[in-house]
Amino acid sequence: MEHQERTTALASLAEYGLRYTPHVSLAGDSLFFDLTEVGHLVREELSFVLSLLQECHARGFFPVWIAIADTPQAAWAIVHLAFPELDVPLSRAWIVPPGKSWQWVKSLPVEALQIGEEGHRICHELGCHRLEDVERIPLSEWRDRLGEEFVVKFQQLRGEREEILPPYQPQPRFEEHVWLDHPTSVRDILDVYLFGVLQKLEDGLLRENQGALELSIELQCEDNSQFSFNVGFFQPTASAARFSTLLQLRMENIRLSASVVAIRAIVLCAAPLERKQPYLFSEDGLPPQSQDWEDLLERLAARLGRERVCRAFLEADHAPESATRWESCLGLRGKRRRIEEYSKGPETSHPRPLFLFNRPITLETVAGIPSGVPYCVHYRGQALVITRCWGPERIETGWWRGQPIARDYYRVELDNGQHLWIYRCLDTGRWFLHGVFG
Amino acid sequence: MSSSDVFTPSGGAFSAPRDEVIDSLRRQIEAISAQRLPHRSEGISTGIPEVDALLPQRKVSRGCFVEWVVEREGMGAETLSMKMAWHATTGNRFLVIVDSSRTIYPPGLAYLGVALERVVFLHPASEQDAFWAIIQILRCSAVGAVWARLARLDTKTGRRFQLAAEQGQTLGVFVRPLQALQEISWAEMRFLAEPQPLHFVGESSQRRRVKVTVLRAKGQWEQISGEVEIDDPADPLSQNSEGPVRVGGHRAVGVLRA
Repeated sequence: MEHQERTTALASLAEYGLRYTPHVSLAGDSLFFDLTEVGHLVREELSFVLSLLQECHARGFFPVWIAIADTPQAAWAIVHLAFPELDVPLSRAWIVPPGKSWQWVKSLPVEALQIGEEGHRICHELGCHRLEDVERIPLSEWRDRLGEEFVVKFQQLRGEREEILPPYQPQPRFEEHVWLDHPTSVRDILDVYLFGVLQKLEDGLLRENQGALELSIELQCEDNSQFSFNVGFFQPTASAARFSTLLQLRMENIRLSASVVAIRAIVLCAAPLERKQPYLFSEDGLPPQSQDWEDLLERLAARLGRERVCRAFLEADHAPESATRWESCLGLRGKRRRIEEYSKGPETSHPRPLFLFNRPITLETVAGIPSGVPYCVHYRGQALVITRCWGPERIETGWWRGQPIARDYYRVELDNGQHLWIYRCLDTGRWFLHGVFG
Repeated sequence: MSSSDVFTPSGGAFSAPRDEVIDSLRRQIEAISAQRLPHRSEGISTGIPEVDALLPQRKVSRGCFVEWVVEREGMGAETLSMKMAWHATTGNRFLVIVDSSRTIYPPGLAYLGVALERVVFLHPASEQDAFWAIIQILRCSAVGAVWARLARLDTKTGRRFQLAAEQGQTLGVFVRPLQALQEISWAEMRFLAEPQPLHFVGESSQRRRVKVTVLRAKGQWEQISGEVEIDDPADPLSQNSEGPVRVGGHRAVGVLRA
C-alpha cells in the first residue's frame, strides 16, 4: 500500500473505531482504541477483536497485530515486541486478562518504553535489558538519571499513572465557505456574512446530529493575507447563535489589514450531540460542571485565548520554576483529573512565596562576610535592611535538563515589613530575588 | 421624627445645641442604614476571625467587591485577601485569579491551603481584557470569588464591577496600591494592611503581624483597626504545626479603635 493510501486507510479505520469508543488515537502506524467505560458497546473483547480484524482485512490491511491490555503502553509493547523474530504474513491478536498486563510485558525488552535511543542505551549500560530489570533500581534514581519522563512512561506502562492519548481528529467534514459580494472591513457587514455561514454550518451539523467542539474561522483578505482564529466548546454545540456569540468576542481583538473577500468556517472537532461530556473535574467530592461555569470559561477562552484560561498542576520537581504545569481549561474537557494530580509537589516543609518572578532579579547586597547572608539589599532603588532571615533551603536539581541549578534560598523580612524570597547562586555567589510572600 | 429633632438652617425656634443635633441626625442615619444592612444570616465570614470582629455585621456580603490597600507587595495584604477570597468559595464554588503579570505561584497558594482543583487562572494580555474578564466572572453564580491586583480602577469600571457582583452574588477581592485611597471607590469595604514588627517570638518563627484597618464598611462611622498574626504552619508555636503546609491560623492581639 502506498504511503498516502495507507494514511487515508488508517484514518478511515480510525473513524470506523469511533463507533465503538470516542477515544481513538492515531500514532505513527498504531491505532489506539480506549475501551474503558464502553462496555455497553464492546460487550466481549474477543468478538471485538474478530470484527476489527475482519474490518482491517476488508480495508486492505494485512497482516494486522492487535493487542488488548490494561494500558496503551502495554498494548503497544506487546504488538511491537512480543514476537520480534516472526516475519510471517499472519495477523495476530493478544487479549491480556485484566490485571495481568505487567506479568505479560515484564519480560519484554526495555525498548518497550518509548524513551528514545539514548534512554535505551543508558538502560542497557546499567544492566537493565528487560522491563523487569528496571524494578531493581529505585524510581528516584531513574528520575535523577533519565528525568521524570522515564518514570512517567514506566508508571503508565504498569498502569500506575494515567496516560492521555491525543485524540484522533478526523478530517473536517463540516465546512462552509462564502465569497463576499464586495470586499469590506465593516464589522456589521462581516457579521451578517459570518452568521450566514454559521447557519449553514449549523444545518450541516444538525443533519448528522453532530455538534462542534472546536470551530475555526478564516478570513481571506484582499491583500492575500489571512486571519484565522479558533473557539472551543465544552459541549458539542450546533447553534449558529452560540457560535456567533463567542466569535464576536474573538473578533473584537482582530485588526484587519485589508478588506475581507471570503469567509470560511470549519469544524475541527465534532462529536455526537447527544453525548454528555464527563465532568471537568474529578468526581471525588468536587462540583459538577454547571452550565453557567462552562459558558463563562468558553467566553473567557474565546476572548482572551484558550491558553490564557488555565488550571495549575503541581509537579514533583524541586526547581521552583518547574514546580507548576499549566493546562488550558478547554484542553481538559472530557478528561477526568484525580485530586491527587493537582498536588504532586515535592514534599517540603519550607514555605513558598505567593509570587514568583518569571526571571530572578539580580540583587545588589551588602554582607558582613562574603559567604554570609546579606544584611542589606538594594531593591527597586532603595537600600533595605534585612531584619529577620530564615534558611537556607538548598535546592540542587535539574542536571539532566542541561541547566542545573544550585541555590541556597532564604526567606527574609525587610525593615519595611516586606517578606521576600531570595537565593544565592552557589556557582557564582551572586544574590537574586525570586519571589515575594504576599 | 418630632420637630424638635430637626435642625432648621434659619436657626429659628428650634435652635438646639449643635452637638445634640448632629448626634440626632447620626442616630437617624444609622437607623436607616441598619435596615439596609444584610441580615446576619446573609453574607459570609472573611475567613479571618480577627477581621470579622472589626466588621459591623461580622460578615462581608456576597454581591460586592472589597479592596485591600497596601503600600507595597509582600506586606501581608495579598495573603489575607487571598484567604478571604478562598473562604468565599465554600459551597463548592470556584476561585478565579486574574493574573496579568503571570507571577502568582501555585505552590505558594497550596502552602496557604488553597485547593488548586477549584481554582482557575486567567492571564489577560491587557488591562482592558482584565477588566472585561472580571466583569464576566463576577456575573457568574458558579464563582465564589475573583481575586486580582489592580493598579488602576476608574469609577466607571468600578461601578460595573459592583453591578456585576450584585448580579452574580459573587465576591470581588482586589489588592490596590496606596494611591487608590485618593480615588473614589465603589468597593463595599476597604481594608488597609500595614506590617507590624514582631519581637517576642522565637528566632525560627516566620510569623508576621499585620495591622488591618477597616477604612470603610457599611454601617461603620469610624475607622477600626485590629492586628492579625499570619502563622507559619511550620512554626512549633503554631497550633497547626503538624508538618508541611496547610492553612495558617490567625490570632488577634487586640482591637484598637482609631
